[in-house]
Amino acid sequence: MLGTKSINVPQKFKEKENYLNVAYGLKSWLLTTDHKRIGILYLISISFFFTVGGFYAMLIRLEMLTPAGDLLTSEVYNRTFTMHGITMIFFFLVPSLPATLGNFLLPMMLGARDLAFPRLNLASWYVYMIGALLAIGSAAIGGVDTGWTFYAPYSTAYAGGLVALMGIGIFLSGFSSIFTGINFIATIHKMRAPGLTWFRLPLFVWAHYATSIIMILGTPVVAITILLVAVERIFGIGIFDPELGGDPILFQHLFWFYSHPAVYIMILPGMGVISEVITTFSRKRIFGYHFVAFSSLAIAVVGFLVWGHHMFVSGQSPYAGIIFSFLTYLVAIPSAIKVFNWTATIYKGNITFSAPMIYALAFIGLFLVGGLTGLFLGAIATDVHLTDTYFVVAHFHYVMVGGMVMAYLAGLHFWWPKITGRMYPEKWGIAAAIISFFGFNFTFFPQFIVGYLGMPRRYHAYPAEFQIWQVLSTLGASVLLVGFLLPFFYLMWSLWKGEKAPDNPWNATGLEWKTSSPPPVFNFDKTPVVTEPAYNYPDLEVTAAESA
Amino acid sequence: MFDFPILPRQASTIAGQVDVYFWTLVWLSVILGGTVAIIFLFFFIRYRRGSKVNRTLKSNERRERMIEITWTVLPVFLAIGMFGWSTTVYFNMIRPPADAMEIQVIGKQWMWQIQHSNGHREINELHVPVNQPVKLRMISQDVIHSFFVPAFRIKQDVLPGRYTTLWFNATDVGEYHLFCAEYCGTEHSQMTGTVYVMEPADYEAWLAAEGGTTVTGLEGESLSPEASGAALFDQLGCSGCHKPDVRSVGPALGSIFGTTVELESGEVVTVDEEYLRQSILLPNEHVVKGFAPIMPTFEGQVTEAQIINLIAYIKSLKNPNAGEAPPAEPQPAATEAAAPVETPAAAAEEGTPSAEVGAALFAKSGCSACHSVTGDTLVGPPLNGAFGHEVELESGETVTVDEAYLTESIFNPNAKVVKGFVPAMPPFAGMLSEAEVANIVEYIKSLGDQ
Repeated sequence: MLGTKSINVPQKFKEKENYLNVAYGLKSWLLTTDHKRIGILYLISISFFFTVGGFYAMLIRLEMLTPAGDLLTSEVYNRTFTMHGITMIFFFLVPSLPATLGNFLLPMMLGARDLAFPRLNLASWYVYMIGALLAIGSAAIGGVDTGWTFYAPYSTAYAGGLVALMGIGIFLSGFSSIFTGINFIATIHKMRAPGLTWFRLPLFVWAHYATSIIMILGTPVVAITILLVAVERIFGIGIFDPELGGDPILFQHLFWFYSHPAVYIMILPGMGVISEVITTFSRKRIFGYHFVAFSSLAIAVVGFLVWGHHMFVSGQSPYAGIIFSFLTYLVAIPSAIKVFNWTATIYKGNITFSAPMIYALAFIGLFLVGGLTGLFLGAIATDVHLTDTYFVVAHFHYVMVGGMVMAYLAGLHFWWPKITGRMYPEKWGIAAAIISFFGFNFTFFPQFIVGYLGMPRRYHAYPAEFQIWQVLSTLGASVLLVGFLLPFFYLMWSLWKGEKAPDNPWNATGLEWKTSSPPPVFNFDKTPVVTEPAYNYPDLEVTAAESA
Repeated sequence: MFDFPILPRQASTIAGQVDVYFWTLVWLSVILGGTVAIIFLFFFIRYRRGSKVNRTLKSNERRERMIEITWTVLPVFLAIGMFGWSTTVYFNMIRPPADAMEIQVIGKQWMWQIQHSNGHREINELHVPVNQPVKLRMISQDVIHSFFVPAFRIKQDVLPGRYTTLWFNATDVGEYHLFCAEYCGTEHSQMTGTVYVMEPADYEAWLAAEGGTTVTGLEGESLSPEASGAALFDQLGCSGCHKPDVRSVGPALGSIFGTTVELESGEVVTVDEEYLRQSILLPNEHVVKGFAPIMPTFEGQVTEAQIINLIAYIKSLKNPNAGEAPPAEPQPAATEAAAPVETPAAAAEEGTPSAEVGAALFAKSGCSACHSVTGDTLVGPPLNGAFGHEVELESGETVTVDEAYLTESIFNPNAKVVKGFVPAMPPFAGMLSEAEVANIVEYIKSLGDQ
């Protein structure tokens, strides 16, 4: 057992001091260096930006109800889908799990008092907020219509709007990723509690370690790319524009070199959450711990070698394309291994159908579809037809929303008692998970069909024969909206009216559950000592090994 | 709105191959993914808390590792197999048959300009014959676009600054959507068109008919791309330095298309459409060995459509009897050429050097492009009155312009360059015989003063 001694003050005498009630007031929040408070700051921010991005999504879905471009003019529509992408990717998805749950839980899972660099952590939030507000602000005063991918030479020589300003906003908030990545790597290497060896770490930690590697190696590339776009646009120095002697395909290589690994930033943490939730709610250790841990690293590494699969029809060399296609098929394997391992984990488990577990179940289904449809796009033969159609839009929403957002919600519910000291209402949680699952499929499955039929993406006016699929998609989106709004309301409600949470409502393993809910400022009254493997749920029955 | 299209039409030779692969991948995904999902759901329900089932776990590290390795290795083999098949189909997609008919495409915000080989132009429409391989040569005049015909399962980005190609063989008569598939600005959604696949007879009739814009000449006559290109070649002064079959200031262009040439850098390139286009816009990047980097750029003076026609003209020089015959050798724009003599070489063999013969050779060899005979200083010094005078060389040495000096300057020009001029004159050693050069020298002697 863990060598922790917690001092039990009887609840009836006083509310135990924790990180939330230790100080009140705006200054104590805006100048905090407590990783838990910073996690909350991020939680508020990303929830805000999710709402903004969701608002743009609503506009898109409403416009797409009819084949004519009648709700929004072309100029407005092009800005709308651009801002939807920029907001959702840079200001919601990339920070989401790592900056909220990662910040909050990583030190606790390691038995540490805080991250290695608490002030860098606070700086990361400020840099993120300033960048994001600059970008959203520039959207409010005109914005850009380049798409979140801002391909050159359109973005450098032809697009009107505030490309450079928007770029600066994204550039700044990118540093938030870099700071977070540095902090996580240093903390995981240097601040593990005594006895907490690498292979006793929760898989959530492994997932964030792999994510951090991608963050620090990839983000600088997109930062420089944005700067080069600004330099070409403002000073006319030819880098991407052929009129100035540049190469437009160079832009795509530089852009996708980050943006492909970025999608692994946007899924690996979610996979870490799923490992935690599935083990807890089946009361079983993970099947194949080493394989799952190394698969996260494999995804991070191989994920840097596949960017050209976004460029099969770009005019790049066919031989380069073939190599990228081969590596893309290979990078699918570690993800498949994780899914197999999770399935084997619940085998002969003792499963509780809690809200986090239902979200995890939804994740498995939706990630399977999202991941498998990636193979259609990794194969050049089919990608030629499918690229730049709604098929791609459906694919990435399945992995990013059906995957990452579901996993994020699973994690949010799972650790809500720890973070807030309150239980969320269980039945509402399960209902929201189910509604989201059905709403999501209804929204995005028709997009696979209409994409295969040939409907290009980023079109707001389209041939009438595609309308039925767009109408179904919009109907689905209204259900999905309900599914996503519900948690917002009942989680807020729980802050005032939710049942008070015990230290370990789920009877889970993991150091974060050994301290109070909410935790004290420095997480543990005494540094824990670890002597057991991860997920050490008593095996229901273990027989001696027999040689096969 | 209430018809439910699920499957796109298959209208090209590659569409079937793509669809077989697609549906195989669909079934594999449904079977494998579905199996995993069903197993997961099955365990989820079977092993719920409170269910009375056997949970005895006979776990054994070695067995677990074998399971892990199996479900790692088997998917790798499946992945390699599917990758290999896809690559085979891809090679079919990118290798056009030799008999593909070429059609030019220019994408611009926000329309498609198509030009057929006889000059016939269309906007946002592409008429092609059925069962005939068609190769599109495409370029953009502004941003990146993408040429996408869903029914053919083909797509290729159309780039500024560089040609990209796409080929297909349409198998079904009919009308098909053409979409721009790379976001290109405000009217991206409107940059659409129609591909009309016609019976061969109908296609010929359409091509011959008055419909569709053609390029017109000065008297309003319809010009083929080759003829239009020929006129441009003249107009822009290309003929001043490039002759069809003799080297001049620039290489001869008559039979150069499709051959390989060695560049000044030592690199060997094929003279294809991309090389010709680059040579027009960025001429001094890849200069043919033995020539000076003095060709001016035509950037900003020619449109992509005009470049296409110039290239068509140059290609036609190689095969003057195929298709439209090129016009008679274009008259050089600003030279003092006398009427060309029938066989200057034969005349030169007859013995005494002749100024008349020399004059004809002077014009034919392109000397007048750089050397004026009216006193103007061009790339090279004016030649009227040069004979008999003394000139200072770049080296500081002074020489008399006599027969020997003139002969040496024609065969090995950069040995003794006149002061103030660049060593840019190409050597005519191996290009002109001694007898021919003697005639030229005689001509220069005859120029006297004015």
